[in-house]
Amino acid sequence: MNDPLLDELLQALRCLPGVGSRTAQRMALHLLERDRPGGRELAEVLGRAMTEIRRCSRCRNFTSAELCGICRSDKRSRAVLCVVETPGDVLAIEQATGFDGQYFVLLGRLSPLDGIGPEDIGLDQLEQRLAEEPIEEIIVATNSTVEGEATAHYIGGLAARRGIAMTRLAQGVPLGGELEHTDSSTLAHAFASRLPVRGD
Amino acid sequence: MSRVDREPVFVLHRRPFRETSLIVELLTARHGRIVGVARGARGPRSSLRAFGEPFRPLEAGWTRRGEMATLTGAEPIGQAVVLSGRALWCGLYANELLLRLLPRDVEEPELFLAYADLLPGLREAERQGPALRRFEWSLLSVLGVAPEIDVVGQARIAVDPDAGYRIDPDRGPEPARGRTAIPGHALRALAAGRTLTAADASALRRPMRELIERQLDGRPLQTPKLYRE
Repeated sequence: MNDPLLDELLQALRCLPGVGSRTAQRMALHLLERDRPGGRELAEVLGRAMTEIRRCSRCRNFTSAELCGICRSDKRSRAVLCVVETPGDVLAIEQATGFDGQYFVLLGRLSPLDGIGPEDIGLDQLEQRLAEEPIEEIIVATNSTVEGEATAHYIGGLAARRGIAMTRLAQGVPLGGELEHTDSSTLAHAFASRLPVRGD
Repeated sequence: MSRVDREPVFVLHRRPFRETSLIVELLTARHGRIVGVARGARGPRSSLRAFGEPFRPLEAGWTRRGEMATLTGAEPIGQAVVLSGRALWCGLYANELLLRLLPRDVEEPELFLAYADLLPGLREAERQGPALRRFEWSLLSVLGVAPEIDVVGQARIAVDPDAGYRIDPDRGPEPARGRTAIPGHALRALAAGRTLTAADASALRRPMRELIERQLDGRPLQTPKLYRE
């Protein structure tokens, strides 16, 4: 665009997912032409968020305090711990379910073939929580991928050693989904883990 | 540019590439191990989504110029092999072995068959050991680094089924005693391609690991560190 600062802005915007050169241009021009206050606020909040937001020391979720809101809350059960891969998964579960226990955010998954081991996803820290807290059930809500399954199995080992019950999210046909259009692996899983139906 | 259609393959590994694509390592029936990019494969409606799933027999197509193939199609064939828990770790171990030891573009149809045989074997706990030993042996044989294990010394005397042995990676079987000695019948069964018992498989575990370690240039495998069979 012939201006060094504007070029720098376009380049910087491209660090966002889904933003290529055209979108970066649209965003930059929009802020400059129509919404300078919005742009200033964005810059200020972004700056603060990047310095102040870190990981919760208990659950590894993002927070600007030492402990996140969920870990601080005294209304939530301490007996159930839900293990997820990403902070986005916490939001999804919070919005979709009435879960009122604690979380542990791995920020990743075990992937031996990529050299990602237990310490890289905080499983040593999880083990310590299992030792120190009165946890009765672990719900493993890792993704339904090979790595998510391997991670769940590894956590199962940690739970079993401490005699803590562990459950894993059910896998099956999506609600409103038609069998004919369900992919064959999902259908095979759903078939293998079918549930009894009570006819009363 | 070369083009391949409807080739039986297994996904060994895949990693995210850009926002919606995957880089996929494949074991193919007739073209050995290849690497390719599956553009848009992470999108919910992509016809290449099946590349996201290891252990699933697929029919794949690709075009290729240079090392990286462009994957053009993936259709699941046969029944899904659902591996979970221990079986899944065994499968990951086999995939890591192939990624570390089998060079790309070495055409080894035999190894593809050995891999296809391995996966169903992993589903039953008592068959996991025998299936893995059989697969490790196929891999070492294909790579040309498997010693002769059914004859002893330069005189090539057949291994005695009732005697105990240890394996020297260069010289092959040598008489041995004690708890870690491998029974001769286990060596003979492995060499002859006969069914291994669970006990044979567990006696063969250590010597096979030593043979494999010699091929790894001092960089250990990751899967066995996390999970011992």
